Amino acid sequence: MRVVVLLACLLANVAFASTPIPAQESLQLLQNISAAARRVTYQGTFIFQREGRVESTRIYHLADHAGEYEKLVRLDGPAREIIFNGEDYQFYYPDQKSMMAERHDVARRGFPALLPEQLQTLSENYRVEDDGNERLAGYQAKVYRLLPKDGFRYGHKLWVDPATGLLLKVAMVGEDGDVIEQFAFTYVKIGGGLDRNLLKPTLPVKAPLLHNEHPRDPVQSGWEVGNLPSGFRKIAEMKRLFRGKSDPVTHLVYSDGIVAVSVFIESLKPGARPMDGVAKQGSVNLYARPDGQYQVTVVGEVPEVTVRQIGDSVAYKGKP
Amino acid sequence: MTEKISMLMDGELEDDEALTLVSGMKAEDQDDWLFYHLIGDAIRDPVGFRADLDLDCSEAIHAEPTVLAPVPHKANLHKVNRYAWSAAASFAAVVLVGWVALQSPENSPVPKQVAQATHLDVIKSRLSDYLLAHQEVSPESGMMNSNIVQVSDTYQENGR
Repeated sequence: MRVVVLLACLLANVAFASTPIPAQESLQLLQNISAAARRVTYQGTFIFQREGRVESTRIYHLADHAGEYEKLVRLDGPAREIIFNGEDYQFYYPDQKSMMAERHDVARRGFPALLPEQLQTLSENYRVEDDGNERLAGYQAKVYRLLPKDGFRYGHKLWVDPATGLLLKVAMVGEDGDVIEQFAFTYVKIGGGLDRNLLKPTLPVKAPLLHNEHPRDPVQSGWEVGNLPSGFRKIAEMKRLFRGKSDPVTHLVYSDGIVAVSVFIESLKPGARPMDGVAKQGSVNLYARPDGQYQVTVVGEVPEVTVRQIGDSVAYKGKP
Repeated sequence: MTEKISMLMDGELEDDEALTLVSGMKAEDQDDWLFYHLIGDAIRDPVGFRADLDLDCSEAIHAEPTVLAPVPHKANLHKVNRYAWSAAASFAAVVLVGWVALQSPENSPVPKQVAQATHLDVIKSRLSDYLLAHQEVSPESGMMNSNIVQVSDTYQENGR
């Protein structure tokens, strides 16, 4: 039996041997994928799968000379809609009878616009390989692998529509080759027009639109990560308020070109119990430790070793 | 022998070695074999686990202190961690969502009795703040994943 499996694996490897893509070419390729998610008109349904949980989302994305518009409708669980009108993101929560708006500069982008627009550092940390073709959501997709050059990050596998560059599926892959989590279109229509009515909110929420007023002031906090894993760079540093907390929390953001790691530092109230430990969900690892009178918390879509190394080397280097 | 059986289960034995092992199994070895499969099934099959655990979990979490898993030696940390995660993942799927704390950074050979349920609530709430704040800056987070706010009851915490 094992011999048969082994043979099958060998044959599969021969048939679908991946070919390395030179750094410059791979950068262009990934930039094209990143741009396509923003500049192409498409509508479809995609799933997000993590640790046995699956959720489906309907997406409408219109790109024209005037800009970019998007509506996301969550299909499972509590009803949710997110509408991007070119400037603001609007979040609709009918079960909580509330709506919230957030400015574009802080709002998150999701699948299929996963890749950041700044990809320069990527080739330092990943090798890109051509992994052949596979049929996906009705399209003949090109498959690429992003192989991490060290153990501080996960690998990625991308399925791409060759005609437009639109990402059809992405999987995060662990050290042992297992898929940790994935986004995938189950149906998508690429190109053509899109009825603008489809971009309007459909959920019956009658409530004033609240603006997310949590301030995020850029700062030079003086906090630094002494032993940053290779390839990670600081991309943002801010102070932010958490609900129910009077003191602002310092938030440092590091990226290796694809994934982000957040470092939070806050002062511990006298008598407060610090958090000390590790937590995990899918690709997300969280590491918390007290540092004197401060609480350090590190979160990211990276292996545990990465959040630990970052968290253990956080120190104050500013003015005493 | 036990180690060989474990290797066989993990598919780490060559064909001829496996054959020799299976044909030479005694009654107590067969018990080991069954027992390992039972563990494996329980880990892999959260649905099968559900019937027994559902009640236990909710009671345990609200009434009992949480027990922290013993920390393995450095040498086999990686392997045992993965085991702990997969077991915990099944567990979490039963309870609600998937936040599961692991070992505290320091080594401790025996399970510790730690935080009470009230303190777990505080941790749940605190974790969700970090996760949401991180989602804002991270493209790879599940964007619509707002039920991440309901951080699981399975968060275990070091109560030093």
